[in-house]
Amino acid sequence: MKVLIAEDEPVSRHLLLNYLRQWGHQVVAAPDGAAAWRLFEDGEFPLVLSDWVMPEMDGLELIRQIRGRPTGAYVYIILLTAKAQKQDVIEGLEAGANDFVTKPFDRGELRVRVRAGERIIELEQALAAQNRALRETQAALVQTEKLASLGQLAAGMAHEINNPIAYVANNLAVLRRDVPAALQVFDKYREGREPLRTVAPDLVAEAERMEKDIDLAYIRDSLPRLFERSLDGLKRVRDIIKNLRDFARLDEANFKEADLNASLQSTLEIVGHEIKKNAIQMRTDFALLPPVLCHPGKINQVFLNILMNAIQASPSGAVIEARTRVDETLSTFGVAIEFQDNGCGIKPEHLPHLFDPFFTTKPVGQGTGLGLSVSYGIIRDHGGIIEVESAVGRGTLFRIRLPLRPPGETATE
Amino acid sequence: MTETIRHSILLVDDEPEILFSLRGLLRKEFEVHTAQSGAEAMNILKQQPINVIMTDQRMPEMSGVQLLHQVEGEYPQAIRIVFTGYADIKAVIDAVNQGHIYRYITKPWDPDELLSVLRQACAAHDRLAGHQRLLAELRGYLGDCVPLLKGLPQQEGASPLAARGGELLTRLERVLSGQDT
Repeated sequence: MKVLIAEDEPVSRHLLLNYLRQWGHQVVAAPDGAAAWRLFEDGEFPLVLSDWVMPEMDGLELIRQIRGRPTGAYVYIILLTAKAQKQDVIEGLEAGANDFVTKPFDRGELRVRVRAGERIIELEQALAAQNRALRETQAALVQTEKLASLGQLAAGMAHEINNPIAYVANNLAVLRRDVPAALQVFDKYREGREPLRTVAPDLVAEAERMEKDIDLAYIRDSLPRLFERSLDGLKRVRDIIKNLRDFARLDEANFKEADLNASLQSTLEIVGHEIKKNAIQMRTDFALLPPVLCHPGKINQVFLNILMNAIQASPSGAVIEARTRVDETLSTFGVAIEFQDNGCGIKPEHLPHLFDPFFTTKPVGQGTGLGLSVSYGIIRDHGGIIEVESAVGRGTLFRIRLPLRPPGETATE
Repeated sequence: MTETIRHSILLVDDEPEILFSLRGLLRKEFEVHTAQSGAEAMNILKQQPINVIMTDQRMPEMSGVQLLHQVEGEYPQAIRIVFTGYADIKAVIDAVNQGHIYRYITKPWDPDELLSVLRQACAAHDRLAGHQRLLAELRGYLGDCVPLLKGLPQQEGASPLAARGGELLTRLERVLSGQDT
């Protein structure tokens, strides 16, 4: 590991440098406290060996500075000094040193104390890593909870929306039928315009003026279109709601027979906005698939994951293809779903880690690194596998193979 | 043009806008009655002959399937239809498959499809009613046969016709009393 030495006495400094290098460490040495602090700020030094009495900044001050840092990994500090009184030991440890070695120091003693320090540092690093993992799992769980409750919210809302959509659409259909009928009555009256003009010319003149003011001809022309387009708009809303429900599939917590083409289609529509935003050209090639016994909500989650990765890896205007076909490579008959993008590709050194939990190539804060590992788990639970083929600069292919029934599973309806 | 009697339809939904909207769609072809709850619906059924009843599934107090279960018991001649959004679909599909409900219609519905289903339901009602009438008539005829058969001479060594007549009489009496089907 990286070690920082702060020692003003040149012989001691060189001695320490050599010993630590012999023990396999990367060592940097400073001739005084201030220089040592500057070096410390620039680098990550888990282990610091510092003299006490030094020009510019003494050892205790250096130690206080190090301990005073608000964040950062754990630092183990060994204070080296000729001062040997009990009081000095107390002062040194109080300032924040982990250990105290008196000069002249014995090589063997220094070695074991450094090793003790290494053990502590390893423990601290393991602890920090575990904490990080825990925090990220918690964040991912919260995210999943959020999505789950969003899903439930959406489902509840979908039901609430259904009623108003239903009667608005129905009202439009009624209007579409009744308004032209009313206009026909009106037309009948207009047929009597000329005879009426002889008896009540003012009335007819005013009626004609009113017709012109409202541009009656335009109204009659546009009425059918108004009704048709409104009804179409409502159909679109209805389809969006249906997609949300199909996607969440909250009604089914059990395995169910599903048409994966339909599932994939509704997932594609869910990411429709992302596709448009990035000007992606989405191509599909669906073969006729037998129904697959699966947990449709979870399979949709896998599709969504892989699709979002493909979209994010692709440049604007690129092509992404989704293909489905029957598959016989697993030990039983099944289906294969492929997602092919022409994006940046995956580096070969990342490929073996792709499905590791928390593995991500996204910048910190974007994504949990859990998407693919959760997907892997879901497909595995269904008795299937996910395969990846990728070339940097050319693109990536994700292939999901699923048997028609998960092993040992029968439909629970 | 001959006066055709319009079929009577009872619409049940806790949302009044839906009832108003449906009345607008159906008023020309059908005699429309509306109710906002299962209890109100049962009241109307007591007072009016209803050919087709169409109810929302999700209602407070009594669900659509529960209401139709009651209707089936008391007014078996009414054709039963339920509206549903997706969440309730399992309960509804079960009821349809067990033969208690004629059809289900999803919300939102397509107005033309809805009209078509209702027309088919009315036709189903008429067929059912027709069968009932036919059965009643046949019973009547059979009933009339009983005194005829009783009047046939009964003696030792009588003709095969008389013997046969005796058999028929016993069977008839059993059928008419409802012991045979």
